[in-house]
Amino acid sequence: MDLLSRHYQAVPQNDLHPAFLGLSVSHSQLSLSHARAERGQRCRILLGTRCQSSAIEAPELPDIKLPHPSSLLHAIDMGKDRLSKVPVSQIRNFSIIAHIDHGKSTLADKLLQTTGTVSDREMKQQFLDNMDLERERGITIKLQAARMRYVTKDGVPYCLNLIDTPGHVDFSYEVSRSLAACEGALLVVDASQGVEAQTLANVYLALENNLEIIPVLNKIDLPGADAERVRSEIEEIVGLDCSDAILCSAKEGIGIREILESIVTKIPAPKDTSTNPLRALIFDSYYDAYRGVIVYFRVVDGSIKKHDKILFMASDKEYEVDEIGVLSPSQMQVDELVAGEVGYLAASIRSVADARVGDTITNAAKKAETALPGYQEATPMVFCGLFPVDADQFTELRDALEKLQLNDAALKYEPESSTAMGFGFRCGFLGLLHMEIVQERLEREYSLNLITTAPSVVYRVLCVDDLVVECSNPSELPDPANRVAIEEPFVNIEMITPKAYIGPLMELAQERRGEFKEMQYITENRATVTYILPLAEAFSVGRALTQKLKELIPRQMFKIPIQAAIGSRIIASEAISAMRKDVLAKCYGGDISRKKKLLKKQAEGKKRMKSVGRVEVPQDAFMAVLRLEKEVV
Amino acid sequence: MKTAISVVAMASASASSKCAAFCKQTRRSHFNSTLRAQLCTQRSSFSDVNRQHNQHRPGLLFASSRDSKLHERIVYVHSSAHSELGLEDKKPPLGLFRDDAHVRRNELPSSGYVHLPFCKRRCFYCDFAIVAVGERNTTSAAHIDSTMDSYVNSLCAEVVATLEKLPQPSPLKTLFFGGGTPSLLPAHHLSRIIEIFDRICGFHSNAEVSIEMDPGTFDRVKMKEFLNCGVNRISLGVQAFNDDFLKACGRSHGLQDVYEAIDIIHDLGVRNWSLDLISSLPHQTVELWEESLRKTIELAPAHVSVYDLQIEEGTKFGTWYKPGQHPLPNEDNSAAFYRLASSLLKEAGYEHYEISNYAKPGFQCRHNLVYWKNQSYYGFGLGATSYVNGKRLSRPRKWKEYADFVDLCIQQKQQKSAELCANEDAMENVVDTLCDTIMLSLRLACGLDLHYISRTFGYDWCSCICKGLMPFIKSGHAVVLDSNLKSMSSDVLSEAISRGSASLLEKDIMFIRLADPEGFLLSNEIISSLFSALPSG
Repeated sequence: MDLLSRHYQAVPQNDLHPAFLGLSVSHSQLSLSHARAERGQRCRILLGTRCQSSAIEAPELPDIKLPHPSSLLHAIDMGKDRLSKVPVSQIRNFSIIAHIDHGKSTLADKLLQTTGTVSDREMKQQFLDNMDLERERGITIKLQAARMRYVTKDGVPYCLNLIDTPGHVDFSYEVSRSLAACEGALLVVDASQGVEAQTLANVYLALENNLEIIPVLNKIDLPGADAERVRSEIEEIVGLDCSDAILCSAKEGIGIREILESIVTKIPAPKDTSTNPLRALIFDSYYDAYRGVIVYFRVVDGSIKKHDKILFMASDKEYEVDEIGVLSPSQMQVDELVAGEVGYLAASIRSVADARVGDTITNAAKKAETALPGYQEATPMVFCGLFPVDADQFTELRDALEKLQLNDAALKYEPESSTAMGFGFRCGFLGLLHMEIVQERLEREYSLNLITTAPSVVYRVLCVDDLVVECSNPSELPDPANRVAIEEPFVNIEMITPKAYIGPLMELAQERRGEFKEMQYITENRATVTYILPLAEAFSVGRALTQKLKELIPRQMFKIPIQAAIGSRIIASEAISAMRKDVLAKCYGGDISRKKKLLKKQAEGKKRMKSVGRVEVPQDAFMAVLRLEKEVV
Repeated sequence: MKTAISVVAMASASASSKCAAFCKQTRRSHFNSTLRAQLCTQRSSFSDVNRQHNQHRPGLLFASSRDSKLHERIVYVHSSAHSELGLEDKKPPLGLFRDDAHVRRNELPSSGYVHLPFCKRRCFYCDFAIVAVGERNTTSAAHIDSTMDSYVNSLCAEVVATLEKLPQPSPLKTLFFGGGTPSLLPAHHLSRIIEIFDRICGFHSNAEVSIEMDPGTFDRVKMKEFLNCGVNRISLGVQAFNDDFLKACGRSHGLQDVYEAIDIIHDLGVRNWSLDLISSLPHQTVELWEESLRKTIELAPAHVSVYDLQIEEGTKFGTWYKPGQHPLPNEDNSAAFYRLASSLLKEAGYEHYEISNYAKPGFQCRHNLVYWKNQSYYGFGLGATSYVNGKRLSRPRKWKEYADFVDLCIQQKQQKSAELCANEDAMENVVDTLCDTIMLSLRLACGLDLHYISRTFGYDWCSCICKGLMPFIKSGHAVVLDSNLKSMSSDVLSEAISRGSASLLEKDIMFIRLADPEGFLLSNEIISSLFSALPSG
């Protein structure tokens, strides 16, 4: 997604939308409404669609035959000497890029297993995704790395570093940094599905980073696989030579050896610049309660040793390295890492903000002249309010957010209070998925019971005194008398679709105030349609929200009007009529236990409801509003 | 208040046989007179029925000379100035029997429920534990008979095994035959079951013996036989006064059967009978519902049960219909049906004494009141639930499993069963009991007895409940009553709560009840709100 975050467009003031009531949408709104079209119409868009977990069977250890004497060893023993040093010319750093569900994680697992980096016994499904949340959803949120030792057909040992990338568009910056840490990438495309939106987005990122790309057609064992069609599709859409694309089934272990061989032969070795001053690119970092922030990096120039004094060039923070090591995929300590290698370090760093992804590590004593290119500050794009259901949990929520922020530099928050919800926080996120992850982690890891307001975007208000006010919250909106114009963020949206669905898609984009840019046929039957769309969509959401709330808020003992309003102007309204009657079942001897269970359950439900004024609103309603995008047409 | 004279004759095991005979005699005469009174509408037929009894079933009920245990028991003989027969002018407080309101938990039940699961077919809305046997004809008769024989054998074995291991079972005040369609059973089965209860427990002098009967399953002869067995209350499953509705419900009877059944009831002079109706049937309109109610009133049953149709999963209705959606009436109409029933029946002299039950003064179903007052009761038969020693036990709903259960009961006969002997551990916790009490009491017109709550669970709970109900009292969905069940201003209660004054609360306020019909209509909402307001409730 090419998010034109700097590209604000003016909107007429009276067209201001319900974000200013806390009712709004984000880019994900777009992506998901399109995802809906996608379900019915089989079109794809460039925005990340929601990740879904896929059931993947545990891969089996393939029968590996190597000419080298070591081939007699069982695969488990193969990876044992993976810490041993090899010349820079025998190092290969690569990533795997793929659309969601095209089998990236399964392939990564298989590579780890085949090279003996992970034994069968320790093989957890999708090894690289190690947060519970990631494993449950089958998606990669935070990337990780793995060092493997691979001995080629010719008996030459290589050190392969797989740098995993997060799969969602919310994290495209992180993806670009981990790609920058590589020399090559495996482009995995599902042989039955073909090129999809995210395939393209990631390929472009990889090409921007000058990576050597190895096309891999996965899932060729599926009955619907059509390698030839997909091969020509890749050539036409991506413009990549696919004559020697590798046919593979990660699940069945087909083609894994070929992939390993071509990594060695096709991907260039890192440049040997170990004598230069240290420059290492951070591609991930996380907070560890015992050792402080753990930084994952690729040494680009020079070398780094334990007890080195290091400087983070963007944050300008200095630390002494306590521990250094490689990821294989668990952390294994080493003494030194040199140019071309990938590893981690711990230096009692207090917050991930000090060692942000994209920052350059250099030696404090022998500083590099310039930092590595590409560093960006995290800019939250989506905002929402987080409130504890139980007001007593406010301090717990604050502490939890503080802790999460140590590990998530993109998370921003500030206190907010609302008459309906009490005290909570206004939080900023990279995107909707990021928001949901944070919310789920707060609930899961910190046992907080939260209510999340509908997400909104940042508006830029131009005032009469030439002041520009950015506001993510309706309450921050300057007085109408002071406003000259209001701008909202726009996205550049590229939809890949079969020819037949171009019409409905364009209609949809038009309805969302989209501005047509261009359309191109990529094959005879598929086309890309490009629009510029407001990141937030307005009135339809106001309508949909009121309707959804009507559906979800149970009837209560009095009538409840539901209105979506912009300022004082009501743009949509519904009413929930008063509850008339309960289910009045008889209640005799045998019914008592059942009846009590029912009432207790109802009572439990009430406890979970948040009273907004006199109205009891179930948590479901808040959650559903959040996911409303799925159902908005 | 009623003035009850209790004659308690105590006899020890060593007492003379003369004394034992006296007890027996006393009980019999009282029960019989009660029975007679209940059966008779006119003085003139009084002696006829009495004669019939003596002629046809001489001494059936209590002449069991096998009952050697009888003299070992404490026998209560009530001669009650206020009877449940409506023979008294003085009206008892609505839905209230103050004397037996607080049966101690470890006291054995004096009520029994017996499940007779046989039906001709399963009604489309029914998810009960039933056994469909089909229409009786020459080919099926033998099979049906043997099925019923075998079930009644199991049932009797359960009753005997359960009751005989008790040291001192109390005489029954109520016995209820529910189903299924109990009236499908030949009377000799019923007689056998009642005799067993009589032999082991005996009956209270004015015991209520109810049976559920469906139109089309009995004739005059069978009804007479039932009455002779000791049945003195009939609950007639009419459900609707419309052939189309009956058909649409999968009922096996038609409107003609309904009128015939009611004729039999009237002819035999049974006064204590109840008519069951179902509201919110598919395609039912307010007009049709009003017609049903008017016909009901015309037929003058002593008691009316109005059940709001509930769509249960796994029933035919469950697969066909969604609550509140066409052809079922919407929520507003269902509520209108309920209000209409409440106003028409009250107008016709029925007391709305429980959410779905109405009765002429003195004709409340005493057996069902046992449930709503959270008192203990035995349960026997397929799928039946018992509540003994604070513990609820549901029997298996499948025949085979039930038969195994009965075998187990027999095996354990010699042992002290955990279910039936006082066992503190097995009791529900206090909050559970409190919740039961709240949930059940608020179904009743007399509502929640605050003194009872205060005394049994403590003032803090009582005050907590009052606070939880306060919003509903303010909104008119609940009502505060004084000791005469007269409604009073909510200010008294709010003041008592705000001052935390137990004495004030105790002095003036006796009950909180749900308003009729608005509070009853939203009873689930109100009760569950109250639960959620209770600590750990």
